[in-house]
Amino acid sequence: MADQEYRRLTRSRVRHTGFFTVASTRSSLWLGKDHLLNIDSNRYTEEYKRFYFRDIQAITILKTRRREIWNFVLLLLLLIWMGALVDEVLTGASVPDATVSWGTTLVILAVPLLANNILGPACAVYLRTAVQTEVLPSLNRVRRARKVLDRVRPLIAAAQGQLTPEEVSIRMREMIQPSETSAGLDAAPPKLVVTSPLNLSAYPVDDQGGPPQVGVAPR
Amino acid sequence: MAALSVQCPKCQTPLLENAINSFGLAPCPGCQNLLQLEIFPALFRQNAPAQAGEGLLVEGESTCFYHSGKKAVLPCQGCGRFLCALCDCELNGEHFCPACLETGRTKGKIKSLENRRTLYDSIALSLAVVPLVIFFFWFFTIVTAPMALFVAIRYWNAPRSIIHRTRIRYVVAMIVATLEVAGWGIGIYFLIENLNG
Repeated sequence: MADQEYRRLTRSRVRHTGFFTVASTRSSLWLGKDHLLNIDSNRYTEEYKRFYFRDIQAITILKTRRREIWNFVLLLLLLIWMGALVDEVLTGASVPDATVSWGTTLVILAVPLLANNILGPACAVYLRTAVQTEVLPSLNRVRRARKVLDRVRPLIAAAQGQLTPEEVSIRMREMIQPSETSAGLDAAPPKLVVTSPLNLSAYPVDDQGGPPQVGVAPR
Repeated sequence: MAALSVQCPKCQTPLLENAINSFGLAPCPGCQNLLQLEIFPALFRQNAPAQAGEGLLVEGESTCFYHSGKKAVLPCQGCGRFLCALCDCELNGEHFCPACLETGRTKGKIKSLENRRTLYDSIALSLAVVPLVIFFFWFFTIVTAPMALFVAIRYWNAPRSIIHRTRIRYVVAMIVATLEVAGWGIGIYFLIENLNG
């Protein structure tokens, strides 16, 4: 049964492809037997991306300012509406219908503001494998992202094993050190070396079209 | 090797050890954005070097279907052809030849390679319902209702979403579309009756 194959981790959220999203693609995350499944759906087609537990290299939760931005926008609108409501009450108390409509709008605006704060800080989650780094738009709140991470961590550990903090720091240093040494070499890029078809020794050349010059010391 | 270092997704600054597996948000040394990074052993795993395939040493040995000069190491689980180490493509413990892998991907025979599905049940439902609910577009149902019926019947057995989904959308689409077709039939019948006298 398909329903036993995948369990829902998150509800679908809009995948933002730009500032304005016209044709919305919704993204959701599902838990499979040996992988995470990200589904991007536009209602009529679904696109799947599988992230096998054995291949996941890193998961990054980056806190964003989306909550603060939405708070600012919603609060601004709320204040404008509240001002209009107060004005209505002070000047036109005899028109209760208008007061009710202003009040209803106020409540409608207050609900998302409240929800935005109840859900907690916003974030963007990046999942890295050997071949790609994928954003998971369905994990857009820190609390939810951590919850999913807590659920997935043991499964990844079961597939890959676990590293102690000491092992991590040793391997990180091993990783960084060669890149530092290569950074020193990058300052003076090696000259282009062409090898003749007769397999003679390699010579640095200035003119790539010309014949190899003998006697120039390689850098 | 530099590509292996773990970087901040926003400013690409290599992250320091204190930001890794800290189980809490820590500031990025570059952009100061708070982040939590968990790394797993796969990050340090070296990829196994590709195998070129062993040459044929003994006369009469099984050879690869694609490389007659190379020794076969196993059969493809899709077509049964013998494969050398070079042609062997392993996928979740199964071994395929490149041709079967490509066929499996394009025709959806290998489920783990399937990366796209069309949701015909949603299409049928939309064809049946959307013109009804959009004001002034109800008369389009004369076209969309038969289309919805066609899609529902034609793709009844087609694979639906990879996650659990019943055929309820097809059923609703067929009921609504049938009612629409019946409505149009009755309407046209009475129109002709009225025109005739």
